[in-house]
Amino acid sequence: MSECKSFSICSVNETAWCPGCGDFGILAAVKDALEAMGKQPHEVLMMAGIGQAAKLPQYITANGYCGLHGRALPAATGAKLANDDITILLNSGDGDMYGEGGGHFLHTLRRDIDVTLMVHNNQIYGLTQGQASPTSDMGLQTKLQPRGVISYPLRGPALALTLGCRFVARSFSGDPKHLSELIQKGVKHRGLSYIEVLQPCISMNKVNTFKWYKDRIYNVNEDPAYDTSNRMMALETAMNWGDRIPTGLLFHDESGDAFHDRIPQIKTTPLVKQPAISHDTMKTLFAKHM
Amino acid sequence: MTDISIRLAGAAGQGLLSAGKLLGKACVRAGYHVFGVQDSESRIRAGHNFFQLRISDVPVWAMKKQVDLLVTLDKERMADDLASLKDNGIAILDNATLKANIDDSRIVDVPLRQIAMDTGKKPIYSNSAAVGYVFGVLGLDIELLNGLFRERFKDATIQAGNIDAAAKGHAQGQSRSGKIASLPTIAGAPSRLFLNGNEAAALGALSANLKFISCYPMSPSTGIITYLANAEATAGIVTEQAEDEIAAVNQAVGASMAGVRAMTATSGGGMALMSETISLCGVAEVPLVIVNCQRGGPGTGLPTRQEQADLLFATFTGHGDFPRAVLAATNAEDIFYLTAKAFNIADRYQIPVIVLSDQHIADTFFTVEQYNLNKVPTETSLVSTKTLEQMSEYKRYAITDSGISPRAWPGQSKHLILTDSHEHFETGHITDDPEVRKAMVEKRARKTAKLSGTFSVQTSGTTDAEVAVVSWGSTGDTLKEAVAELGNRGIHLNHVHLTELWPFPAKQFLAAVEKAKRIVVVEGNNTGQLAAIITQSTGLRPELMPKYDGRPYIVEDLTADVAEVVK
Repeated sequence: MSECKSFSICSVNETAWCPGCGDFGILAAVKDALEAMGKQPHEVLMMAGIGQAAKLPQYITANGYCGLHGRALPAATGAKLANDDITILLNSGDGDMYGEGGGHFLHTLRRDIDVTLMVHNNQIYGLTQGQASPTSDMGLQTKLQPRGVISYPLRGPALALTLGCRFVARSFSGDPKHLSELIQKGVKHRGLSYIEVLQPCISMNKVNTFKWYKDRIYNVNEDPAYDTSNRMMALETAMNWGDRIPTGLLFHDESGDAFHDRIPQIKTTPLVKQPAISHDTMKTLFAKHM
Repeated sequence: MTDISIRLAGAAGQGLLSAGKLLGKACVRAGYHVFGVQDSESRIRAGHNFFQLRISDVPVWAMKKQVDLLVTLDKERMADDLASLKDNGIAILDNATLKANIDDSRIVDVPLRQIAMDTGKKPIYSNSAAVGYVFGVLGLDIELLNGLFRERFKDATIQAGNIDAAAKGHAQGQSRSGKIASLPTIAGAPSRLFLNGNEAAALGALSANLKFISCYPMSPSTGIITYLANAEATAGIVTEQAEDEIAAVNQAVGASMAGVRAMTATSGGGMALMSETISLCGVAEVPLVIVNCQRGGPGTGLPTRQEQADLLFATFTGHGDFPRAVLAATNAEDIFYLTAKAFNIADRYQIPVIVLSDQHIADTFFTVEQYNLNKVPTETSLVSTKTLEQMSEYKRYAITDSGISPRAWPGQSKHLILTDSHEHFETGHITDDPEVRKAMVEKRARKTAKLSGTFSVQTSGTTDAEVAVVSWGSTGDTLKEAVAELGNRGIHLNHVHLTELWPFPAKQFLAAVEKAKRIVVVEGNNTGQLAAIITQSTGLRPELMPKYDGRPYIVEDLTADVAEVVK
């Protein structure tokens, strides 16, 4: 790609998303947030695994990395440890992040690397044509689960809160303005900012539709009594799912540092900008074996 | 020529390794070459372990079966250990502690525990008393040992406890000096390094400007990241213990994509989990170095034991067609240079490179001459920031005659970098287009077309002999000594040893075995994995000499086995 000054699409590709897909709203919110923050495309690295959500880096003018299904978080960890000067945003789906990459989700939240993680949650596997996802509600019938889903759904925000995550939020693809505001807060947060984004899959999920979400979501931050600094209150809120689904900034702890702030060797200069090891240093290391 | 072997036998947790390392390091400082093998069970305490040192005034790279000196803390396996002791050897044990009461004229009862209590007032100093005794028997300069104690223990009481226990053991051992051999300090000997294969691999990676390593602990590879974690501050690198091998390798890929040299280390089972990511590196063209310290497989196999059965796995792991390189180390000397070279190959060709080590290399202590830091100069496909800034257009996967695209990292300049594991256009954007697909497959294949031409095949012994014996990995050094020994007996063999295995250097191999009427591959697996690659690459059908008992080769046994096969 050549130099581009804005994040708007200058891709060679048409998007592979279905008309009306929630991913469009998320893409619009990402671009809006980055432009509102005055970021330049070359300062941003969009990372992803595999899935429809994970195609997002293809449709934005920025650096990108589309790796393996479920493995974007470890790759983002490596990239951030190599170069803290770059802003990393990561888009993933419920299958990619909670299923295939579930282990990495747990442990990368524990590390608290400075990455903005958006998990597009449409409660279904879209790209593989409609199987249950880790967030599908009990009883949801699919081609592969004809009797309906018989496992409990994973509640991402609640799980994140138990793992020490200091920025836990939820938004809706139908409200790009709200999502953009959360992304901007997330990018500014020093540490892992996790935003679950509810979205309809218009082709594969006929239950959890745009209207279904619209009828249920409410913004916790509209309640003046809601305290975003109270982890236990956030956890209780995040466990709710059903007639009313909480969205907004559920928890935010601005104190504390990110994983790489605890590593003295990269405190001031990223690895990628550090010089090659010197012969003198090598000789110091050899001397310990003599 | 001095050539003596010492076995320290006992249970895990009794400090044998520390004692053996001290003894070995002191001998290296005295100017000798020391080869120290660890033999251990997969457990933290108890079991039967030994650390066996071979000490010589000439370089030694292999283990002998019979030992001259045995120090044993293990009553249960004493019969086995005594069977390994030469008829004129000495077995040192503390009968008051062991209550072995064996009638064997080679046994010398030394009150190690009593010495420890009389000097340092704690039984923990028994090992130092034993090492002191060995110094006495061998006429080694006790000051070398005292110096090591002073470096190792900063606490004055602990330092004195060890020095005093060793001194008393030394005084008693001197009563038997000259019975085995005398090891006076060799004047003017160059200072050499005493280190194991994992430490050498780690140092080799550092010399090649490694900046990031992530691993999941797995025997026998864990020593690599452990070493690097302790060198982090000095070397200015970052090490991370990942939640699993898949995370480890993907962290390394992320760091490499972001512009630094990165690696992971594991054993066969861990590399199996990394297979998909190895394939990712093939298509995304991200440089990656994986060190696989092989152990006995399959499955859990033999976690702390020796085997060379991951060669075909390393060569063919990962779905789809993509180029990769496989190198295999022989010892702590060449693993330093091979690991550094692996980074150059990975970087220059933007491919995954697997360095095969094995348990015998990983855990064995070798004596090596000072490493030459100018031997492997850095080779990279990274474009300089200055050049990049002058480019009007940049395409991460630009199609070139060599197949190698100029590499850059996100944020290096205003040019954008899109790295993709899906098939892609030159820009990195995904496509299914059949013409682009063909062009990209061909581009990637071109990258390593000339790589095998740069590889060399090592030959020694009688290079025009009728029989060629072929080896790879740690087998090579024992085979080299066996070939030399057989040469002394009038059996002349051509020894061909490979460290650069894939893409297979067929032309060089064929030249090396041109005069041979018989080709015998000596390797530590059951099916003949190198032999299979030779057949695939050259059409030759070598004879097999497999070994799969989970133990390293031993000079006397291999010499006899090769003599039998080639007669």
